[in-house]
Amino acid sequence: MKRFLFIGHSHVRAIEAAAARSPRWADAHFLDLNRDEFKPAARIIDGRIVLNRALSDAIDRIVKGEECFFALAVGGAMHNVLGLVHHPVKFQFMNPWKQVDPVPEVPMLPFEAVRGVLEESLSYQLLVLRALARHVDGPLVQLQSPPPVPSKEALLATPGVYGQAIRQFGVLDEKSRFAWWRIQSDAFEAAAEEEGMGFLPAPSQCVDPEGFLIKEAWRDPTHGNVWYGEQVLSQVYGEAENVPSL
Amino acid sequence: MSHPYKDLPDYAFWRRSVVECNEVNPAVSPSFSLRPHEKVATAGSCFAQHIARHLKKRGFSYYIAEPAHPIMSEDVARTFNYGTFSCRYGNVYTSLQLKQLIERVYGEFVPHESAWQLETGLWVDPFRPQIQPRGFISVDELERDRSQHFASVRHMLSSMDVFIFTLGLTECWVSRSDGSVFPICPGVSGGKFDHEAYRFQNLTVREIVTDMSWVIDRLRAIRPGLKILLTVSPVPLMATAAGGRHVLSATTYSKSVLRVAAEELCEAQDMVDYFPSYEIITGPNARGSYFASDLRSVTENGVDHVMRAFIRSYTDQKADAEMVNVSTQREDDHVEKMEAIIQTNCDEQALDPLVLRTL
Repeated sequence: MKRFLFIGHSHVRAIEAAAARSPRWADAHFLDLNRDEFKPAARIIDGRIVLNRALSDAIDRIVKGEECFFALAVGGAMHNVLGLVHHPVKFQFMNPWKQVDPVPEVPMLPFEAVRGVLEESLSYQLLVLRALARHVDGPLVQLQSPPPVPSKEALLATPGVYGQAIRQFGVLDEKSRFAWWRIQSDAFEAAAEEEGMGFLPAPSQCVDPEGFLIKEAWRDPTHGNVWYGEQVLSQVYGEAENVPSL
Repeated sequence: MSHPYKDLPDYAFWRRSVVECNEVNPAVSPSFSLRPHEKVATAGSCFAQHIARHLKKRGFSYYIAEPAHPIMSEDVARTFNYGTFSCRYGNVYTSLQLKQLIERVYGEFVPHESAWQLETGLWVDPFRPQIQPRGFISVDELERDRSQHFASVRHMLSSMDVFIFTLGLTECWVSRSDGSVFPICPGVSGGKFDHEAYRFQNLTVREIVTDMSWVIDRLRAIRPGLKILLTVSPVPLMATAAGGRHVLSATTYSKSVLRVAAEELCEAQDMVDYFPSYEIITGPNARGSYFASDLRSVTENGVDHVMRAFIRSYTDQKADAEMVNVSTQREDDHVEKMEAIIQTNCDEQALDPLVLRTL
């Protein structure tokens, strides 16, 4: 018997919602790291990375010693915290992936400094990734967070307080937003590789030729929708078929 | 019996002012004083970084003309050399380097070499090879950053009130093709060393005085009334390329040349003072205690002594006045606000995860 355990922050919810729709995914289980009892999910104590006890117990209760495929969706929103809208003190930066036209009179930050800012902001989430990687016993992947929504108009139409903030500060150009997302993705991919775990990119059918999230998958500026969650489930289950023991 | 020594002040006597003195302060004849609102800019070798840091702590208007963006934390800003000196020029070790920096920012000298590619495929600025870890992602980015940096330096030169320059080295490496001087030997932090392309130069007193005289005249033309303070770095050479010479001897020679040059400049120029941080750190009074275990790095106690002497001699402040609590955390409300909004959005997902929301 095999089971699947998805552990993560908000990105795991679209996957969970998709799983609830079909018995095909009945063996998928979910742990939401935003639950109070799981905070903080990891800490450094006396130089060691220590996983939250309630979380490790919850993992062990679900796994029950059975073979399990683990998929993590840790973090994944920081690129939008820093790079969805313009900072009140505007700046621009070049990136290695997409040509961005220079904006006159707007100061340029070096790309490596932008990377330094985002990687510093990810330090807790990367710690959680490492703590989970060192605790679970089984095939393990980190899921790439959904690529950005390319459409400025769609983002400006975001409802609620989120939309108000977007309209107040203005949407960053899509190429720079892509760069913020890609820096974050690369940081998680590098950490996953260091921990000896896999890294699954967003399902290819959900990504347009420029690397952005296709419209069918949009939910809000940060998250994929339930359809996207279904694509991820299919992808993860497909990946598990490559693991001999499962 | 009358003689010239009879009426000299205490500081002219070794026993009174070095042996029996509680805390040596050789800065006895300042030609100007610093006022708190005056913009103090710094440049020079590693030792100048200490001065910059302490000026900030003591509430002086340490002038940063190329500040870090508020989105950067203090740690990231420091890593990328924002605030290390007044602009992001990195260490300016020699008088020749300072002269060429000024020429370059005004477009009067354009070196043949513009960018060095690393094995990683990234690029470094030959004249600021260690300004940021990993380097620049393209020549285009490097040149845009340099252009922005030059604008900051021009702004600094035209608006500073005091310029503190720490002379660090006499040894340097120079391009044979156009005489451009590099802060670090090509091949050490980028670039490829080639005897045909580069030559070693050990600057003489005459060369330093000539270059610094040009610098002072140029700075005063841009900013009349500028006060200038020269110091000599007490940090010994990491290594010498002056063949056949022990590094200790090379260090003594180098620092002696710098010290003599600084003295000649102060004698010849108004409102140019030599500040004796070198003597405070290396003099017998310190008994070697101001060097760390590597016998190169200056201890914090040593820097504190230097700054107390500086405050006593050049300001109205009390030397033991309370330090300004300089926050180590840069505040960026915008990031906190966006984080809260996005977290709320993430939390709201839990309320109705089955709803297919379309943008």
